[in-house]
Amino acid sequence: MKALIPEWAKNYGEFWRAIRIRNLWFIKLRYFAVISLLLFLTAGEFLLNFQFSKLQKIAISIVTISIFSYNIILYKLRAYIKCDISSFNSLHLSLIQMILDLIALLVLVYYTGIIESPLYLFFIFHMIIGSLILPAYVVYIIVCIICFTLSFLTIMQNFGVIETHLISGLYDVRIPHTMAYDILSLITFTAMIFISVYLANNIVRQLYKREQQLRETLQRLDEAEKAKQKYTIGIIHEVKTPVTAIKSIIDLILNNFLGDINSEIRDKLKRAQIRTDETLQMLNNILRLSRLKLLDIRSTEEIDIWELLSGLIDKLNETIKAKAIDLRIKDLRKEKKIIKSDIILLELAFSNLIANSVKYVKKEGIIEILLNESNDKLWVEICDNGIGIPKEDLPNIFKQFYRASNVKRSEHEGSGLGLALVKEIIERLGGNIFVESPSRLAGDMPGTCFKVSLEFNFQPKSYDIFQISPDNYINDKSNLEKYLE
Amino acid sequence: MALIAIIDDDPDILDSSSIVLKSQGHNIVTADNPHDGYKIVVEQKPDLIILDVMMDEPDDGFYLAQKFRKEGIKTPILMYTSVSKATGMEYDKSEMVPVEDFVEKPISPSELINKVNNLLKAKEVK
Repeated sequence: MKALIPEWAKNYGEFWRAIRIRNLWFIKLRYFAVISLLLFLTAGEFLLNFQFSKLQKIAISIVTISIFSYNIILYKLRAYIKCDISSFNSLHLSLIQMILDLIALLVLVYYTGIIESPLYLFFIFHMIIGSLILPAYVVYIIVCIICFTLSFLTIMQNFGVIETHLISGLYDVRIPHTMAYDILSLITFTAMIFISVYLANNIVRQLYKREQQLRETLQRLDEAEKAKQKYTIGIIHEVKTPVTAIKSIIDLILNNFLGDINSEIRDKLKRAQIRTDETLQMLNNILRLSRLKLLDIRSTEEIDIWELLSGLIDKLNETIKAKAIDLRIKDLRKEKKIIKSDIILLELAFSNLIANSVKYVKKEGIIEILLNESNDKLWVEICDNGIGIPKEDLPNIFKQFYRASNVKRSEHEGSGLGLALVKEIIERLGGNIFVESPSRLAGDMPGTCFKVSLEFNFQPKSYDIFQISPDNYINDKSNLEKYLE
Repeated sequence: MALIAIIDDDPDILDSSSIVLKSQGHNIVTADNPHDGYKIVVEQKPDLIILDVMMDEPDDGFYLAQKFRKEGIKTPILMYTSVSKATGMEYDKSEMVPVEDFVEKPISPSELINKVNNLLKAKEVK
């Protein structure tokens, strides 16, 4: 039974999915065949003036009822059949469908005149469909059987061995034709069916190959992107090491561990300290972005968003007090539904947004954080009356390394990575972020408003390329044991 | 005061950490690779070990920490990390990482002094 599966389709999920879909498609088409046959009987008799014999009527009716009933059975059966190579699967179901259809068609052709019935052309259509799912050799075997059976029946009919069931009314006068005509018809039919099957088979094969190539290319692209991110992480770590060393030396001097220094040196060193901090922050942001691109979120947990936001505000409390910022946090939620998400990433995103507001409001500015919920989403709104974002910059602020024109002019330093990171995180967590400027708090300055929507129940992807079990870690280090012994 | 071993492959970090801790009256021994680090710990039996993650080295700080614990050296370990928590590469105390506390680089002198004092105090109580 295994031989039924084309060699290029083993363990190929997409192939199985296609087979299942096609099975369903054929089942639906078959109802159309039932209706057509009923029309053939009724409309044929009344509109086209066919005169079916009693035997023909019975035969066509039986075929119609059979098709209808086995179609219902196939439909029910389909639900229980799995795409498992080793057992009875969807492909076998397809084969059974095809054999049943061919038998029904053969009976129909037989009772409508064999070679003199136009219905025998339907064999070609059936075999094209067969080529879409079955391996070439199975299709060719079936085609051979069809051609042989049809030829045999035609010749038998010609010799008068079997009865001819012509549809009366199809021909004005039946011109008795020669054996040569029958043979020519059969040869034409055989050629047509073989060529059609050959072409269909080739096209399908190529299509699957292309699809697989596309899939492989995509995978390679994904791997290349990951390699790039790993490379970036490596470089940033290399750069970060000397910068942290510089910072620790500056801190050492500024904290008078090497004795007192004069105020001019202190001022310059303080500048150096600030610039080093900026550099570190920038490097950390690049690291975060790269990590994020590499990382598939592992697990989610239930998060109290109110607690999370309050915690973040507490961390910024010093600056908030120093700038005398009026920070309000309002909870407009009615149900207070629990949100499931990745707490570290969510904290990172919101801390960036709140820190931005704190940074860009003037003294005694206002920041308002609103919490709300709709049917399936949690909404967090962070509004301020700070310097705002010029209209022409709005479409770009979520891009990496982009800094709004008014920010570039201001005294604030930054890398232009913060908002790109926020967007990346929020979207990874199945949410969306929108920006408005001027905000509803606009006063002297336009202010900015960020609206974040988050799904209540975010489902992370199930795999993670960074998952290394602790056992592996220790095993990998086995040769080092020798070195240390 | 206490004898503290600092193991880090960055000479500037070794130097500045030593200066900070010396100012608190501690005695310092340093090593700039895990091999020497292992040696100074075994030979001098410090009260506290400051150990860098040293992710660049094939035999990194985690491994050294594990080795100390395997051999029954229970000296508290303060680990220097250069990876930020927010990047997702955070470590926590575990069998894999048998250390008492972490300091994330860049190290601020006051944080270092605090953590060292806390660990030494905790050791005394034990």
